[in-house]
Amino acid sequence: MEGKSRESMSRRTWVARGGAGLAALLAVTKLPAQETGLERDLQTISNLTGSKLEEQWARPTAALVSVILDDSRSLRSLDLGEIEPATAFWVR
Amino acid sequence: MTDELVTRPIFELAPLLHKRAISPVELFDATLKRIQWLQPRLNSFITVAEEEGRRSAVRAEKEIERGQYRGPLHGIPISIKDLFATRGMRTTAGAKVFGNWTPDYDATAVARLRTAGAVIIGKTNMHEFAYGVTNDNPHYGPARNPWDAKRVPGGSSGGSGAAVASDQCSASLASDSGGSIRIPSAACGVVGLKPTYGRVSRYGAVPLAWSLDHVGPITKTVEDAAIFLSAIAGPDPGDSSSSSKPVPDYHDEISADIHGLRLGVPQHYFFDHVEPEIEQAVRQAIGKLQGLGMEVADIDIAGLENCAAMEAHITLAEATSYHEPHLKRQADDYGPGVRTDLEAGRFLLATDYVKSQRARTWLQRNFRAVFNSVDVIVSPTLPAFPPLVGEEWVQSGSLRENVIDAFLRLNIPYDLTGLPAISLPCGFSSTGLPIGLQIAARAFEEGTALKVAYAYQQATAWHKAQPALA
Repeated sequence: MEGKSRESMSRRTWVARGGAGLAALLAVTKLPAQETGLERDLQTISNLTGSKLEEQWARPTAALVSVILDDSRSLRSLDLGEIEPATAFWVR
Repeated sequence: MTDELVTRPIFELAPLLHKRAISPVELFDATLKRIQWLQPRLNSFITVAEEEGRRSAVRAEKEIERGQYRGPLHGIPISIKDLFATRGMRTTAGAKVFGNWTPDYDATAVARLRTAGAVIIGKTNMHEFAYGVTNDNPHYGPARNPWDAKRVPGGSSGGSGAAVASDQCSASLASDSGGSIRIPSAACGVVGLKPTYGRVSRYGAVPLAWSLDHVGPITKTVEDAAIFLSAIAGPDPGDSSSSSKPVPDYHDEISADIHGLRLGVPQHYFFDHVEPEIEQAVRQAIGKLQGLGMEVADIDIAGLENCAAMEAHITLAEATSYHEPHLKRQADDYGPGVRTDLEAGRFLLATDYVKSQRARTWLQRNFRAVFNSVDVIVSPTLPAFPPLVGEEWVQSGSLRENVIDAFLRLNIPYDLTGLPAISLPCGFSSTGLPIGLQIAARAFEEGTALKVAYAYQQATAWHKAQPALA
């Protein structure tokens, strides 16, 4: 055991904070530059796909997407060779 | 005797009902009285099926009187997590979006419980759309933990865990996509079994993530879990992932000798960042199982460090795909936490989703390799204790982390691999909160996990402890 307490920030933090007090989150959170850029990108994708990302949801969504993508570096770097996806589909 | 009846497990009630020492109506009324007393405090139910439940109890009573006893669930009051379709009974999935849905069909598992003669007493509270671990529901109010009503019962099947722990039903039908059966079972001090993917039909369950969703029981004892699983397991043409493997009689299997079975203790991941009292209780349980004749071995499972990312991509992508039409029509009816997850699910990378599904195959292989040398893997179910309602952070050993990360961490490997896992009580904290022991087994070997869990319960008394609710 390490003596010093550590804090873990993860994608879920954003969701949980959203549940606890989204308004407070939106009011105080300053997004890093990459997330501000991502927020604009998400709006662009939204327009292209015809799905609407409402203004008030753009910031927490960008924050969450950013954290998930960042947390996935290790997964993305896995060399899985010839391994195929798990699938729920069968040929009957 | 009537009030004491509700505290008894199914395996004790069944013979009494069979020989007509008690009646299903008497049992139903006692259980309903208990719900009416506890609902204001624990909020375990979204719908209480007073009239329909009593009709079922009367029908069961008449059938048993006529000698048409259906088996150990006949006349037993069972609750149903509110994401399973119940014919003629409102099914909300804990959501405002489904607030007015009354299905005209039963989920397969519900239909099988009815066939077994179970009396459905109500639909339990849950995290909105099963998309969370606290059961802090913005639409129906938070469910609360019977051991400390200021705390969450875990989730997403929090109402089910709390209802079973506080004797508001004999057992509950629940679902598990990231731990939603085992988390509330550990947090509330009861037994929760997530069967192998494909063992129990998902038909009629509102999905969270199709490739992760599992259906199983929450019960008071391991023996009851075996009885319940035998009633709901088996192939179903309504579920494309349903397995055609024969279903054993789990109840017959549980009392088999565990002497010589091999127990694996993970050296990494499952004991990292765990509260000291939890780790101590689980290691004592391992010692107890060793004392019962099991061989204990250290094991190492590769690939676990990516589980959180895999779960994120699969859950967000599949959940958003299911919810897209509802999101278009009723976006404002979602709670903010679930809404954020669903919005984000539209912007993740398809390659990350496929990579996650490929990594699942790899993880399954890694577990299969380990299961060449052991019969079960034992760990804590949760690394931390349930937080106060509204609190988002917990202490997991030296790590202070978000409750969602903490509660998913030790559960999600078995949803990703589809392997069966059971949680059962193995102790209490110094503050009186239950501790859960997780036992996992090879695919379709629920009987092995149940057998080990049963042997542990026969040798201990943790499952007999009752929360002080008077």
